[in-house]
Amino acid sequence: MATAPGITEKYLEETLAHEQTSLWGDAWRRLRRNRLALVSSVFLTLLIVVAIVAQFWTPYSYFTQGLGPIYQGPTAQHWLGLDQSGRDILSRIMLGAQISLKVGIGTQLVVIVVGVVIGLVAGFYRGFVDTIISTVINIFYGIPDLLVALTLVLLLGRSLGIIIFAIAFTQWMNMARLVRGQTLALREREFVEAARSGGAKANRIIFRHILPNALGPMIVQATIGVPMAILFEAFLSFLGLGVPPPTPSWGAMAADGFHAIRISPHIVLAPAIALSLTLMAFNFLGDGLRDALDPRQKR
Amino acid sequence: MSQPVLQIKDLKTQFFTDDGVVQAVDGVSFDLHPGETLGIVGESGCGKSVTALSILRLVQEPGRIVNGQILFRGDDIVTMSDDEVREIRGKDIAMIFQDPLSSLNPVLTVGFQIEEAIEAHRKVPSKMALSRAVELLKQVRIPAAESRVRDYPHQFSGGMRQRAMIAMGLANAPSILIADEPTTALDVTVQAQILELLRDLNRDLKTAIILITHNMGVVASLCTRVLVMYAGRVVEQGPVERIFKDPQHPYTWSLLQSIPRLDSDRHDRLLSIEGFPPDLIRPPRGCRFNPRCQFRVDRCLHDDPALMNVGPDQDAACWVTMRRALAPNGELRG
Amino acid sequence: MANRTPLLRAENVVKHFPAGLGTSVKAVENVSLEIYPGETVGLVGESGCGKSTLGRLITQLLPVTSGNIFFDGVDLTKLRGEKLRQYRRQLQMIFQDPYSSLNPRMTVGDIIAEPLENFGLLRGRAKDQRVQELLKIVGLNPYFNNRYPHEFSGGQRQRIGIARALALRPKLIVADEPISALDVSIQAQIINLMEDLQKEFQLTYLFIAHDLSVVRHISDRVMVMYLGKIVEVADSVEIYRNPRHPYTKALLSAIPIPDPEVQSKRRIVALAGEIPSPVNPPSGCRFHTRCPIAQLPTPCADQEPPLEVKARDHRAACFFSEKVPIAV
Repeated sequence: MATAPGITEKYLEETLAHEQTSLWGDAWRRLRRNRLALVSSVFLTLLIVVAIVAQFWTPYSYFTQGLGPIYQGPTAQHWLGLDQSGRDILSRIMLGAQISLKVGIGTQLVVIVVGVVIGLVAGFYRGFVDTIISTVINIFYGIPDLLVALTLVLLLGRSLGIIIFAIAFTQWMNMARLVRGQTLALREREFVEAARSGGAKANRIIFRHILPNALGPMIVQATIGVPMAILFEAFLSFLGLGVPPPTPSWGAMAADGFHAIRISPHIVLAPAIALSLTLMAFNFLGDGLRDALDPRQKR
Repeated sequence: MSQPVLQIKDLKTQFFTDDGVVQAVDGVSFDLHPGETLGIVGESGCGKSVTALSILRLVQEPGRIVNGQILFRGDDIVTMSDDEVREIRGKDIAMIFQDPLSSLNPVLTVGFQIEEAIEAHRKVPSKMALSRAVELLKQVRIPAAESRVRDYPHQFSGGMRQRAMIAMGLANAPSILIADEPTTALDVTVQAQILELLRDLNRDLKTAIILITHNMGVVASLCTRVLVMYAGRVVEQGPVERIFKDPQHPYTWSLLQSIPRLDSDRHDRLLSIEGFPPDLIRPPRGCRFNPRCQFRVDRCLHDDPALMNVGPDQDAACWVTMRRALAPNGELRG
Repeated sequence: MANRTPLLRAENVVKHFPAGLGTSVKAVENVSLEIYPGETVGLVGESGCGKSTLGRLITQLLPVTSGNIFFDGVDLTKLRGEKLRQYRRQLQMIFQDPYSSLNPRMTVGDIIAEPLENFGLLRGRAKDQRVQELLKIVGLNPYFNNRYPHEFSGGQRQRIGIARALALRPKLIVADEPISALDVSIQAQIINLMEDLQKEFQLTYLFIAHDLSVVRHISDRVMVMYLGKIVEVADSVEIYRNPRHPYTKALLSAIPIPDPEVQSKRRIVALAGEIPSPVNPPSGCRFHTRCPIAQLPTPCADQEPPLEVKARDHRAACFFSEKVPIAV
């Protein structure tokens, strides 16, 4: 016996058609109902606050060594303990959050700018331009990310800006491909035809009709790209190729404590847990956003 | 008349959504006799499809049957165990849908899917299942059935897919075939072929058919009895000739007046039913059609009419009825 | 309409879409037609017959493969860029799907105002007033301009699409299946609205649909299309009473009439099989593979019947048009 293909959904869609308030409002309602996404956004908001606070105040200076016995575990004065140089781990985690968020969000900004421009051009003009862009994208997919990033960092130096640029260099294809696909699909929609019929020029079609309707998937893609970038930076730092010391990056902190993991695991655990929670939060939020912005895609 | 093969009594199916409870089917009752062709007509969202899904307990979350009985040969489908319902589905009551493409599995041959439908209810040697599948495809008039049985759904045209679905539905010689908008996705010339097929199957196999459609013409060409649904309720029911010739509910009447007829040369303005179907979370008080009804009286605003006998075997849920609304003395028209 | 000048004239219009591996979909093949000012021409045919493509060629939303389309004497197929854009003001379109034809991220007011902005016609308050006036004209509350499309029902959305098409005061509106996505009780509202607007604004319509009863109701003349070709053109009364092409006849007989008494007496002209692929259309008359009266192979399978005059204002493309059974 065949199943009922989507009749329930169709029925509800038809009967509830004029129940919604607005597309964004509706997405927001669905997002709020997703407990994990909600908890994640609360966590991430706190993280951002911490990162901002760290700019002006940390319990101790993040680079002052010998604040107490090295490898000391958590105490009342130093909640997360001290590291191998006797630095306050909590202060360093706080500042590390700043680095992680800068890298995560920074790369996505670069990725959005590059990906949107390239994806729009390929999807809107199609033909020869699209063939070239798609080929370039595929070539980029073929090169190992780490190789690209390492080469760039080694060639250009280890500043935060270079790292953001290097990670964006390995990620822009995802966004470009997404925007290209969205553009190809949207430009065939009847409302775009209607806009052309109403005498709209290319600019208007791109910026008022295509881009706003691709925004949902773009936001999801960017949200999922953030933890990828954070992890990449942590990894580079772990290898000693990240932001130069004494700036505390979670990856570098974990690397620092790695040799003492048996005697004082807290040095590794603190940044590792901070990193894991952050990555999870971004991924849950990304999932939640996907469900909220495109309810049909669920299942 | 014979014993009804299916009796629906006060069926209520509701959807529990975040916006509220949608009263999709709200107290629907009807009987289906063996070999009968019953049309259920109405617009999208009127509850006709949900009624059909309810009969086979195929309503999905957040929908639930909250009240009523669905008696198949006297046994209540509503209270049956899942296994018992599964036994009835496809064997005694089969259902076909509007879009045959999404009901067919694209990676299996049409023949295999028909064989599967046969084997779901009885053990047969696969040789026999295959020959039965070919026989069924012939019965629904698919040319070169012997070779087409090995085709995949995408190799079939839209009309052939619907025929294949019908063949699958007929696999176990069900006593009832429920067809939910079976021709809506098809072209008119193909629609005519499918309707003719259904008519012949009904005549030759005595399968009772419940045809769910929004198309009055389709009802007129296939059905002997009609149920008109509006906003989750049956507003009128009766023999097809009576409903088309002498509709008593203003909704039925207006619907018939609002469709252009192929055989009419008059280019008169069509009657248009103003407004649109109500929100079934908060349906209007009184008669659910009253906000759109041009014949409403005060009573319609607060008093909900039940089906009342208005002619030979014809019932309508209306305080006014067209007979009085169109009466020459115009006692009701302001 | 003998001596009037057509508002739009299409000559030998061809549209082929590449379908890969050197093949192509022959969507529209050598179509010529005229549309006179103030009339409604219906264009019917089954899915895949090329009627929507033809509509988009006429509004120049798609470029022709070959052929000419004259609007007010100007060949639109020769215009490019800005010149073509200027002509769009006169040719508007109403789309089939009231859901996908309105940008969900724009307010109704912005949607209707967009064509006005594109041509810099009105600004500020004057523009807002015009938008509200248009909403009123199509029977919507003028204060709905700040709402989004999804807050409206299908019928209301189609009214919004009509308001958008009217914004530029076009001469010709191509309506591509404007009611087939709507509920039965709403279809009449839209048909009536379109008829009222035609009177009020002296519009010319090309009304594309698959439902011949609707087309017959709204149109003065009806064109029947089959597999990329126009097979018959006639006055809407004449085409029903006296079809001169076997396909038209079959189409007419297949449409169920909502009257069981009438319906039980009708005979359906059964067509064999289904529409052949437009990638490889049949030779000669494209209908010969399904035609009940075809004489094969000569002439039907090897010669193409021209669309020729069979009676006054009645053209059909069939060698044996006198054999088409009369009336239904």
